[in-house]
Amino acid sequence: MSVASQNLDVKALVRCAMFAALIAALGLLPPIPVPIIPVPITAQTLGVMLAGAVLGPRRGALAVIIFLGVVLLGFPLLSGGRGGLGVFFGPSAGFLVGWVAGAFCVGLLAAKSLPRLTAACLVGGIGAVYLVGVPWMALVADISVAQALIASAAFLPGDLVKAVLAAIAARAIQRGYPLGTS
Amino acid sequence: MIAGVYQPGNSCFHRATPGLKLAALAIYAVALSVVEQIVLLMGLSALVLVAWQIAGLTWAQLSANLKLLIWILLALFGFQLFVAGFWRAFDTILTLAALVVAAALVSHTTRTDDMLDTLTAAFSPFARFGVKPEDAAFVLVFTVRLVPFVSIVGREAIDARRARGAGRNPVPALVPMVIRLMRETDALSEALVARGFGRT
Repeated sequence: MSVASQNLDVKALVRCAMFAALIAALGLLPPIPVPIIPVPITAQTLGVMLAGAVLGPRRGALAVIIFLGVVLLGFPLLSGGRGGLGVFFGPSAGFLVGWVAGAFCVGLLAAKSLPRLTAACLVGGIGAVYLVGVPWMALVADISVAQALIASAAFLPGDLVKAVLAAIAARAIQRGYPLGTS
Repeated sequence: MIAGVYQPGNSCFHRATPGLKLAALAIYAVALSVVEQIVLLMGLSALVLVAWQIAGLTWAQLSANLKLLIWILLALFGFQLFVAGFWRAFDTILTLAALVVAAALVSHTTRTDDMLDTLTAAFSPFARFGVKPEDAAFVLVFTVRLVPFVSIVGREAIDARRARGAGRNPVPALVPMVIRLMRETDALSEALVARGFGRT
């Protein structure tokens, strides 16, 4: 392997690690209570969608995997200061695993226009995440998929707001620091 | 530096190897989901509380682990009470709570380094796909080190916006924050390559 291509590899990996750290840092912000929405929203999914939009599908997914790996190791970096094996056994653990699929889909669908980015964040950041999280919750909590979907609907308004915000932020980042298509 | 959830101690749980604890956790999870009789299930769940005591962990640590989960569990309980009756509801939340506490017990009694070594060993079969386990381990530790740095960059981005009279909303600050992080990445990866990282 040449020095130049090796440098590229390491650079891509460090970018993934940096986004993993960004998702973690967003979790250190206190959850934001929103008046009309029953559950406080966390900024971490913003980081997940940005990882997909900025890094692309595979590297975006890798960034989320790195983040989840660090949480699994026992660092309390999930919003609310949670970490360790326990978080992967709760009823909402599927949503965390769904983040990997979410970042991948956002990266797959993202393009250099705001409507495309918004669509990508809606499909990936909400659709793909719920596609994993809702059946997982149904399985773990012993309820039907429809019931799990109703239970998750409380998070939907916050997630919609975040998807739009992530798309706007991703477009501005694309303008400010073009990473190419990699 | 960010501390892990490990709680120092010298119980048999602290001394057991992480691999043994993870295997025990897996068996416990299967047992919890297989057992149907409510009395047996209660016994199994009580077991994890006994283990918690033996490991020298406090009740405050236990409630900290269940703090966020408790609301989800209560909602689930109410929901299942309606559709499936008391015992099924009780069964569901007891299983979930016991599992989460058992998993937390493993994390609380396992040093982050040991967990990292165990996971590195467990993922060594993936080496054939081009992922070197020791590189993966390095990236995880490196990421933890990056978190305080990212927080500082974020704080500076918010402060810069405030200094321009743009308010305290953290979302627009994300843009200059990410751009600066990507710039720093270039310098960081050059430093890593210069120190021999990524060489095969």
